[in-house]
Amino acid sequence: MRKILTVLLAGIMAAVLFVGCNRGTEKPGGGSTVKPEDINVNLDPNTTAALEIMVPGGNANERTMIDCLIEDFKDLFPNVTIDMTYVSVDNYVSAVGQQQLAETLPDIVWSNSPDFYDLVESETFIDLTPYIQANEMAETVYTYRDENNQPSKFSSEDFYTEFFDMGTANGKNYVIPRSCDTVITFLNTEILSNAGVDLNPETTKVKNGWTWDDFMDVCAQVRTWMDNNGMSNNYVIDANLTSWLSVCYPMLLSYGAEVIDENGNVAIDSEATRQCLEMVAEMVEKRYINDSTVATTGSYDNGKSAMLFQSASVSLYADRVALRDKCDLVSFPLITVNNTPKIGAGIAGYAISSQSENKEVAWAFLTYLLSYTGQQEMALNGLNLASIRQDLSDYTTANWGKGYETLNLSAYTYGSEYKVSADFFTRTTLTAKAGLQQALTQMFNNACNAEKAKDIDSIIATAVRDMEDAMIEY
Amino acid sequence: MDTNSEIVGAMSARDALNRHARRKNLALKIILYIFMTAIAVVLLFPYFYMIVKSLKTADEVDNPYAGFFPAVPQFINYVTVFQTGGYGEGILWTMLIIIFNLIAVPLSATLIAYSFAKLKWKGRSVMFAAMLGTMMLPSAVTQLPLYIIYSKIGFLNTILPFTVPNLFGGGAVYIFLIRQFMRGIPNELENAAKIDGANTFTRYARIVVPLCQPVLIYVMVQVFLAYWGDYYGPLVYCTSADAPRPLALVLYNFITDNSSGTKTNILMAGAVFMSVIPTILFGIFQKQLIEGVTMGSLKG
Amino acid sequence: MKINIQTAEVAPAPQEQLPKKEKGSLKKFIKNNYTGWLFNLPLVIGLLAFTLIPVGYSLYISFWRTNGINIWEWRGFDNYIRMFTVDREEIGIVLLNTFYYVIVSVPLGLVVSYLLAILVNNTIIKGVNSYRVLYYLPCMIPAVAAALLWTDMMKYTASSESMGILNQMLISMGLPASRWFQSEGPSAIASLFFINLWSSGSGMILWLSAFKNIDKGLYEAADIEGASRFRKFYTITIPMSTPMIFYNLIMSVIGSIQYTGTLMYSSGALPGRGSDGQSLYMLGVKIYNTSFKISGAQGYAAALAWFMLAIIAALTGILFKTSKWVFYGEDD
Repeated sequence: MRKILTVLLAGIMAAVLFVGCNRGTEKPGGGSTVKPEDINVNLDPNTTAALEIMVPGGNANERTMIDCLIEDFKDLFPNVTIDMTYVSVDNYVSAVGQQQLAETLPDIVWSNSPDFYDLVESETFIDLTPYIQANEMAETVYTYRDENNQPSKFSSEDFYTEFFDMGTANGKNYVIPRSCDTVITFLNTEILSNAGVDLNPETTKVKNGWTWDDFMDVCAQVRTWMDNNGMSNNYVIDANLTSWLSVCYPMLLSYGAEVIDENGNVAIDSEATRQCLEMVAEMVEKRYINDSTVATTGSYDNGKSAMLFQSASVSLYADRVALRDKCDLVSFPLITVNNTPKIGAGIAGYAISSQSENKEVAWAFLTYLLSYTGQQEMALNGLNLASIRQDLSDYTTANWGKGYETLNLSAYTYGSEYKVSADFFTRTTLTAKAGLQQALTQMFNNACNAEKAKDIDSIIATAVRDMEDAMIEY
Repeated sequence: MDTNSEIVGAMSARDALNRHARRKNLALKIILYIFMTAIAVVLLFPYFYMIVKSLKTADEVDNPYAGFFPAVPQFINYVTVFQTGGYGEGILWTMLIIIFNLIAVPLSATLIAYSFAKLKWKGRSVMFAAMLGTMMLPSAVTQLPLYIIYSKIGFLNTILPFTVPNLFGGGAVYIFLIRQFMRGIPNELENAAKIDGANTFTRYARIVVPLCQPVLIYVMVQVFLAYWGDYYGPLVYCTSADAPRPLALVLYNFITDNSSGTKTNILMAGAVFMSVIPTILFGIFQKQLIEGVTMGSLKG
Repeated sequence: MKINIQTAEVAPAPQEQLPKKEKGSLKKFIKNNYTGWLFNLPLVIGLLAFTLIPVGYSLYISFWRTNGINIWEWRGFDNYIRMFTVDREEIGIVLLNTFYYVIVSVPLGLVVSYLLAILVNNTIIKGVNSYRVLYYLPCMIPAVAAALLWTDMMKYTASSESMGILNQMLISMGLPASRWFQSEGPSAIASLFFINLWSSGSGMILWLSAFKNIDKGLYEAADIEGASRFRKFYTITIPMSTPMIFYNLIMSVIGSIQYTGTLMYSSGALPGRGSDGQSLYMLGVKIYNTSFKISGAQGYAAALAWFMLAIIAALTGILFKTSKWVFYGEDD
């Protein structure tokens, strides 16, 4: 025994000395900022470079649309090759962190909110603000192609800028949005009409801008119908409440609640939060949504729920066998209790790695992604989400609505003034993000637990405690 | 026949005169049979249940009113599973890792064990103690530094973290077991070869290793089982979407996040497949597996 | 463990005569020892590369706040202090769960598998061998497959028809359905004990080999003295298998403290205090989460790992100190 310990200790000492000598100094913190005037946005078309772009592996649409951009980019820069690699969305942050650690992170990386907040402190991505400024300063930008596929003048005014803001932390813009991602309500029209919900476009309540009360009425109707037809184990709506900030955070805000106040303190303990959670508990009690401790067998995807809160491409659902010709959409119901209705939104897009050696080429690619031609091309190859460009907002003419014109696609663009992303993370230390997110989703999870929901106060107290824990710096 | 049987034998001989006792013995036998069979049924029920469920249709899995048994056994599920989310690829990665380790572990572990069991050199007991000391070290201490080191040398998202370390012995337990076995091989065999002029390596390769076959089979089967079921290693070291995913990790991902909505019958088919292979192995090497423990036991 | 070392060191060791002659030059030392070291070289490299350097590195980063990439802030002992201050309550939950798991699952596993071994070691009935195989079969289900299976069998839903099969059994017996590992408090971990019972077969095999090693002469001598079956069991079988009991005890304790299997049963990303899945939140899982799920917390994760090592060392130390009951035989 003693011998083992001696050997172990000796080994440890030796190893400590060994590493200690190698790594005595602190690493310098990140690269310096680039000035806009130093950035060349009109690169020589003969530039030679090899780029890598990382896209979510599980999403076929994302792959096909980036594939077509890569094809087009080859025409603009014949000597630039672009390879695609994949990242899994489930453990996005650790996977990206791992690749950064190994210094194998691709030049362009798919990212989203709120996950990118986790990568701010580790300086994974570069600040794109100077690049945007450089684009604006140029007369025309080579890869910023207009409807005639010609270089054109770049202006921030071309876009829905609120989505650029969602990719910003501490005044630095890390992620470029590829589309307008908004939470909307997917409908199963078959279930709704069977349940006797009025869907006549002239008279229906189920239209863009419908209120939470309208929504609850519809839920009640569907519930009754389901119970009368032996579907007591199905639920009215897949609300994604317990796992997704883009639904639960705007709901809190609608009631007038706050998560973190402007001074960076936890502000979740309020009457408004209580009201919001009571409403959630009521939905569980009336069995509109499932109790979080109970597994469900049916979901919207397989045609067993009437509604779904989601932000994904319409093609992802409308093309499903179980939903063919039964799918429609409408905006997220407005909660008007406090006269501050909110609709969840978020950014999904691309960032440039700080380890990239071809940042200017990567930026040229992202500029093409934002351009008229790029957006139209992506829409033809799977991006059936509202375009980030203002001049492509009309889905009846723009490509992103192609094939789905009969559906109410304006749900995606409805209510710009209500849109909000989970940006409260920037009000406190960003390392707290994972813990804050966990605490918040857990709070909703508890509110969806009939047992725990009897004591809303203790649910909130737990959330406060977990949030304060998360905000203690490591 | 082992110890207890002789005792029992002696006992029943003594009691043979007593018919009452014999009847009592018969009753005991029956009770034991029933009791032991009952335990077997309980222990095997999950296994059985898993097989039954893997043969159902998707509808039967969803429908609570479908019977316990499938109407028609769906053996097609075992084909479907390998066309689903990475199972087919998973088995290739798993086999690649296992085949490498089946060569690497016995090779390096016998070398090390030989130096402990048959060679005399200064520092032997210190090295031996150090090796045993690693058995007490929780893997949590080394996992993070190894992760950082692996990231720097390009091991992450490859199968190298599960193969390369095994070139260096593959774990204290295996080395210890083989050493114990080698100590049981009489030195006379080697001495004879020594007289014939065989050098140390020849003696190791030609005489000692071939004699180690029983313990090596045990070690190899254990290595197989360990890497067949290992999900934690790949979970830590293979996170990128295009990283190799061994079968166990594929299954783990389905458990924790089944966003693709794969049906339970298909998942169960995968689980049955994962369990059947070790079961067959156990069937073949049953004797070595049970005796292997004896060989390594503490008095060896 | 100690037993192993004992065999190694107590064994008649001719090598110990060698060093006396070796007082000479370095050359002579190399000449006398190079074969041994050469054969041992894989272990030397392996220990250095995959144990010593990582261990040293782990100790080193436990004094920093770091994400391994761009942040390196010296923290001194702060990471260690953190466990007992700001993170006190969560560590408390984690430790409570871990100790609860160790204290119940280790003895339970040992006792149940011991009883099984005694059962299949009888010679009263024929075909006892096939029972050994049957009892061992559940151990052939890999942990992930078992997790999938038990998750399905323990499923809890709103309506009783779609419950998992175990709950349906409970209901048909007139008992209330259980949420099993999804429940809160001690019963969550208790369902893990329940699941572990199915792999008692592997422990059983170890006991069987221990029984085999017991000198048959002892039983014969006892027979001559006319000892009863129970007495033989009590005075021979148990004392003679104490080394194996002790070995199993140590290894199970070390293994159980590091248990990360609950990762498969509660997929909550970061179970914390008051969170879903906190009833299954154990030290190994916390270290995993801190290492790989929170950026910038890797230094703290390393400190937690050393904390775990300290607990293991303390527990094994206590076990060795109180190991007077282990019977090592007369001596060999």
